[in-house]
Amino acid sequence: MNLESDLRKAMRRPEPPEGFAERVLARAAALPDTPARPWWRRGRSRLVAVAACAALVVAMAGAGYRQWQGERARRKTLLALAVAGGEWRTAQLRVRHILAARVGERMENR
Amino acid sequence: MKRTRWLKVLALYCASVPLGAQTCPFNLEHIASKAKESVDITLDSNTLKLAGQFLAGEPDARSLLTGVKAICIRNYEFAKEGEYSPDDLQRVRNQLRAPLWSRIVHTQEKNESSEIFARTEGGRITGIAIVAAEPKELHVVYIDGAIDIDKLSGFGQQLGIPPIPGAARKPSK
Repeated sequence: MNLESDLRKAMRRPEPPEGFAERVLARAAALPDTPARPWWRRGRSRLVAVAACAALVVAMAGAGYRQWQGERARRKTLLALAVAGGEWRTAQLRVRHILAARVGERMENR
Repeated sequence: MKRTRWLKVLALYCASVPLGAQTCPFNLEHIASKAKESVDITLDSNTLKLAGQFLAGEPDARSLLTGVKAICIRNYEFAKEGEYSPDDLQRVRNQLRAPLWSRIVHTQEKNESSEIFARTEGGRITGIAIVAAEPKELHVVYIDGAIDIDKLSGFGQQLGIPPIPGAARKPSK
């Protein structure tokens, strides 16, 4: 018998306190229309994030390009020095060769 | 109206930028047009400055470039002998005339010749030009500025040209 009354008590639908519905409606009306967005989706923050990313990409690309240019200039300069030095050395060798030939001729004539 | 102004600014900028042709004082068009193959290396002062920043591992090259303002190298290879005439070569020599330039070395062996010209200003050598002619090849090297010849000669060794005893120092590694 007790079980039956306990079940009935448990299954009984409780009535909300007085004015509950009005309070809920009032609070809902006070809330903002749009839901709160994460910071990266907020207008100004998104703009700053995009600008920072763009600046980083531009800076990295600039540094990479400068490195590439410098390496290119370095290789070109070393090649130019090798070629110029080679031409100088060839001219020196020719002078020595001619001088040696002349000295040889004089020795033979004696 | 605005567009015209921009064009004027652009034209003024272009006029102020030194051109590659001005870095190299020679006009070799008459030879270049006859060549089968050509190599053109032009290094102006800005390129040399930039290269200097990247030559930390090569102190010899770095020190060699200290007084150099520009380097021009022109190599021409011709399909057959006699493709360029002695007059063509003379036109190159004519661009290296006194009082600024003087020929300090001239060697002639059969069809091959080597000439070294030095530009002197105020008693100091401020430029060097090398003109090496072979039947099917012509090499012109121009260095604007003061350069250590011994060190430069050492760099020539990198191309496999044998060392000259007592004439050149090996670049230190």
